[in-house]
Amino acid sequence: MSFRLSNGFALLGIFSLGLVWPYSVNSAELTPITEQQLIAQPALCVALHQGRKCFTKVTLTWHVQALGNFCLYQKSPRRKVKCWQKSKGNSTLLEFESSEKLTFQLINQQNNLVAETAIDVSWVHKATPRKRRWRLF
Amino acid sequence: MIYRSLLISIFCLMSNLAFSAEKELDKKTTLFDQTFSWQIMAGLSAVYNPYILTDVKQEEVNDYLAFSLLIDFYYKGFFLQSNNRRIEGLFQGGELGYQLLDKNDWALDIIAKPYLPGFIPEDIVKGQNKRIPSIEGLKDRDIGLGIGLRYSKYYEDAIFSFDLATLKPTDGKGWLADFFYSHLFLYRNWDIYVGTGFTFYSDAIVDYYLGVGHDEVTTARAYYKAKSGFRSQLELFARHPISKNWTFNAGITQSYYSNAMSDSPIVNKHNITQVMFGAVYVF
Repeated sequence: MSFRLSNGFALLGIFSLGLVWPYSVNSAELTPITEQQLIAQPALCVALHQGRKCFTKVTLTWHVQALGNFCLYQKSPRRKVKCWQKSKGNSTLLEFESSEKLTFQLINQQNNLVAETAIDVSWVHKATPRKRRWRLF
Repeated sequence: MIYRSLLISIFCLMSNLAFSAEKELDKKTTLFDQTFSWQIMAGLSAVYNPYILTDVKQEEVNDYLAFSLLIDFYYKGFFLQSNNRRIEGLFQGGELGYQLLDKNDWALDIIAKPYLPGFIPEDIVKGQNKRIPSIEGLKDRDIGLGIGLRYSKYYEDAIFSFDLATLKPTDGKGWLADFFYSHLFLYRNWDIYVGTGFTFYSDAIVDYYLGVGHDEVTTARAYYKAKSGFRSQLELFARHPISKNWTFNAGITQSYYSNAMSDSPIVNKHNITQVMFGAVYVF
């Protein structure tokens, strides 16, 4: 169903409003950095299709109350991301590339979990039983 | 009459094949893990969409904007699907069909869809801010609703399809063969499609849309009996997620029309470049 717009700019405004409203829940906006925290920004990666690998650049920021040695790990599969010596806070840029939610953990030198965060993966289109072929015009 | 007979024959064939197709659906748990699915989308796009008709141009700002409602519905082999690459609309891209056969790497569908847009000369002239002698007084050309068979061949990241269809406005005398190949390239979160198409139109179709009948002859347009012709196309289309509900879409299509079309007194172009970009909301 196609409509030529009689008031195109009004609709453009409505759509623009909707465009910016629902996107990207960001954990940094929800909770201020106070105690021991690990924050992913953005905390959501959106792929076009369900099951497709999602790509984004994520900043992982951590903050603790006392100086120490800390390492940042990806939980599963376990992988070291980066370590810091004598620090109480820092950040690192990560190339996120996954089709599913990934959890990251901040571990201290006693190998204790200090803080945890996750980057979720969502999608626009569900997997469909129909294969598609489309032409633009 | 021929069109109606063909329609009845194809639907009889469809009924006979329905039972065997049902059995296949049950087996194919990977592809047919759902027997019912639907999706509704709304899109807003900017389009540069020139007409092949002589002196007809996009005039107003609204001519460059298009809102579309795109509906996809699938139930046990029956489908209604809109062209969600073609943001401008369902009427020129929507398809109603039934899946006759669906194998791992190929499929055969029966489809009904508007293959050609048609035009109402009086409305075109009203929408332009000038007189267009080559168009004025022509009879209406109805939307080219067609019914046909589609063979699709699926590759890892590409699809080839072939439609053979007859169009209603030509009373079954006109037929077309449409070949289309599209390759999907993935780059990070982008889907990039590169496609090429070739459509052969029989003389009855070209003549219905672009011919000039004896009763339509004026000083501005001579009698024109069209022969069969073709259109070839190249397209590039890209899509990127903006959020969980929004995607950005952009595309460009280059079309070439054969002499049988461009020789018509109501046509003055061999080539057309169409461009669109916009956003689609997925409900």
